[in-house]
Amino acid sequence: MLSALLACTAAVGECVLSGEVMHNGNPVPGAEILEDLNSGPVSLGQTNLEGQFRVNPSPVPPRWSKAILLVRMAGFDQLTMGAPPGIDRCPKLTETTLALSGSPTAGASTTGTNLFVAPYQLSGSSASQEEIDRFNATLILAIYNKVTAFRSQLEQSTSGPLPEMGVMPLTAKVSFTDPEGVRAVGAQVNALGVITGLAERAGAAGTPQSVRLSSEFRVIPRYPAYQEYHIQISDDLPGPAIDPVAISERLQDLWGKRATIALLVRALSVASDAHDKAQQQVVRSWIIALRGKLGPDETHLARELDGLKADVESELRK
Amino acid sequence: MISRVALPVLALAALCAARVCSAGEVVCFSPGEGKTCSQSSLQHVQFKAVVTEFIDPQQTTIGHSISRLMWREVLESISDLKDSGVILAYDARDQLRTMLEGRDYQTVLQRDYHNAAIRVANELGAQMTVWGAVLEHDGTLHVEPYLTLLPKGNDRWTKLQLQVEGSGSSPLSAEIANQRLSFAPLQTDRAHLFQHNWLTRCRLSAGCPEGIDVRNAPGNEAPVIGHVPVGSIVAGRDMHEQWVAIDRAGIDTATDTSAGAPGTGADSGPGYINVYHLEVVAPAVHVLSKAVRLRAQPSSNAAVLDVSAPAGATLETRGVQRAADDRLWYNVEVRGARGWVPPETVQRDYSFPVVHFIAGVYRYAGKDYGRAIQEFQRFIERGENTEDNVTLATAYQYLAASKVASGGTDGIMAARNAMNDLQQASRQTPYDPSVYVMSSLIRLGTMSDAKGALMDLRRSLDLDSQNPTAITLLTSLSSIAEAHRTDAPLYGEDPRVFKAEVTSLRDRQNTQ
Repeated sequence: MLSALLACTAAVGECVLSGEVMHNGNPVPGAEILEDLNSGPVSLGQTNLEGQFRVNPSPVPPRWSKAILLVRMAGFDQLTMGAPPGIDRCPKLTETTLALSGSPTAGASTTGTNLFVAPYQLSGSSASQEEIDRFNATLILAIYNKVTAFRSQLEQSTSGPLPEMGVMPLTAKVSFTDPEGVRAVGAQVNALGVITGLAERAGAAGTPQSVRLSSEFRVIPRYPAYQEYHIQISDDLPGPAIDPVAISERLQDLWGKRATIALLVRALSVASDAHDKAQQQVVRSWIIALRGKLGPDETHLARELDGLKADVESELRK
Repeated sequence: MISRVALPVLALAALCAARVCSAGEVVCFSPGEGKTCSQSSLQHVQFKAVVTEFIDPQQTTIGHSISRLMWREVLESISDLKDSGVILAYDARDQLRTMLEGRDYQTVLQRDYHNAAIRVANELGAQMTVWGAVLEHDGTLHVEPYLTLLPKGNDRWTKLQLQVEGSGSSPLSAEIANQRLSFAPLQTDRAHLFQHNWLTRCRLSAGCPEGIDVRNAPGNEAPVIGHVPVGSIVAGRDMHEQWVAIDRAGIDTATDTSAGAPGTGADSGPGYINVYHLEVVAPAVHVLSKAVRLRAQPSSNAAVLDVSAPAGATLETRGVQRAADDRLWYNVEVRGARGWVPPETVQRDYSFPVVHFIAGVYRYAGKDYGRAIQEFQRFIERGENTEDNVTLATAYQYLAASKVASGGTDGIMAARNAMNDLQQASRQTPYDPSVYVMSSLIRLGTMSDAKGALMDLRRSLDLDSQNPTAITLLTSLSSIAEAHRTDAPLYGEDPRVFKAEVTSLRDRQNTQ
């Protein structure tokens, strides 16, 4: 359930609306706040990493009984709310806590198949907190795009659709250098996987600059036949800018493939417990399809999938 | 001359430009303004793609312009190809929303990606959907194109079919399995993406006696501030939805200056031309297989200059001109000399490398294998360090299939070249069984290499014992081996050895 905690205050000469957008008790960074003055929605701003926003809406037009405000976030149903005029006809909300009805569309999966992204830790950077928040909010969008695109691509060759995957910010504090801590938190929130990362601006003044990047994807579900090969990706992005979309491009394959492995590990575990051969057959097709996409340098992933394929085929023969 | 088949697309594009194309409408490019987009478009065009608006989760509106630029480039890449067309789809009047059961089109694409693209293409009767996503961060645009292919039933354009000895009237086939493709994101900025030279054109049925309208603002309701002659080049500065912003300098304002002449105070901003009246001028062209002599004028009858552009050279275009026969000639510079080269001697580049791939698929489907080879080769050249392994493997498979299909006078040589391409494909996706099925088929059909063919088939079945194309091929080979009654070699192999190998594969298959 996506909810928005909103409050409105009016300052002299301008309207100010501030609040917090939440999902299941977790803040939603990167959500966009818009107003619709009958000529199409206009963006007022985004929530920060804590899901908070502070925007300046237009006064409610004369003869209008209320303003229309929207909250949008990739993967969630759009939240539409009426805000009656208050002081100086500034829109205000009578309800401070707003809950959305309907099921989330993708960003938060209804089947508990969410990836969690711990905010990237940025060091050696002179970026402001606002920039860092924006970076992490855009990163979630970018990861969601990559993972969803990969899943959709894979479905062409599978005998059943893959479950929807959502991408959520991880609000609990975890350290990139504490893999067990990451795993424990991931298990607590029933995550499919947890993405963590470090970005560090390198290069002294006057020398070519780059962003040194380290990223990890940890598969959280467990299954006896699954042995995860630990992969940490380190990369240098040229230039001084820490661009979340560029980062996601470098890592799209890893994230898409790892996310799918996490998904099929969980599905295999469920199918195995239930002795569900039909579902095991479906998962086998996911394994074959995913392995068909692997490149020549992905022998570690191929070995993980070979282990799972041998296991499921053995189960199917029983 | 732009082909007659392509003309309806262009003419109807102009028709749309003449009326108000309000947001929310699907441009069907089908006869009649009242036609809805849930009906098929370009019904008499056999092979068509639909370009949808790019997903724009940050609501920057740039997705509108990118899809239109992509649409124009795809259209230009096939303008000479018979029975082909391109549809640009965007939501208006909630027709797509209705089609998608009340859901927002962008949300549906963003959630369902290729599955949604398939639904859109199915509704419009298209074989391909070109779509994508755009994200902006600190002024850098990341444009991610996707392509969804929709072969139906017995469509052959994702297959290679070969008449193989003993297969009777039914050819054996292999399929290029990857039909949902992601392309390398283009990282760029607005200026780089939209600062193109454009060539003005007129596709209005009434003609354009005054030239092409230039408006004061992006919109059909904005006042006309002047005109640009048809066939002239204008320098684009930016795009706003379907409107290309151009410098006002050089606009003929003699016919209507009521909205302000160039350079007068607040009206000194850019002028706007609807993209439907413009063709993108290629920034560079590549000389094809033979050196080409430059001509003094854009005409086959013009004097030949004593300057040649060597094969394989990349030449910046200095200008373009449509000749009397409607072919687009390019003005280029070679060793300081300027001259003109005709379109059939060069290959143009596109803003989006994916357009080469799309053009290659069109050409393969249209049996224009020579041009298909050129487009896939160019795509691979441009993308070998940036495209993902699956996309490259798919391009190599299409390239191989195009080479085998083109055959020509030296089928064996074409097949050997194709096998090199398939080796590249298997390097990119070593665990994809479909690559080995195609390799097996080419070895059988064109090289009489039974041993290699069966090895490839075994490899594909090792990877996926339930692969339908591999099983079909195995079943066919089994029947062929059974029916072969003589001692004559079968695909270059002793028929008894061949039969024993096939039987062994079948037995192994049956025990799995």
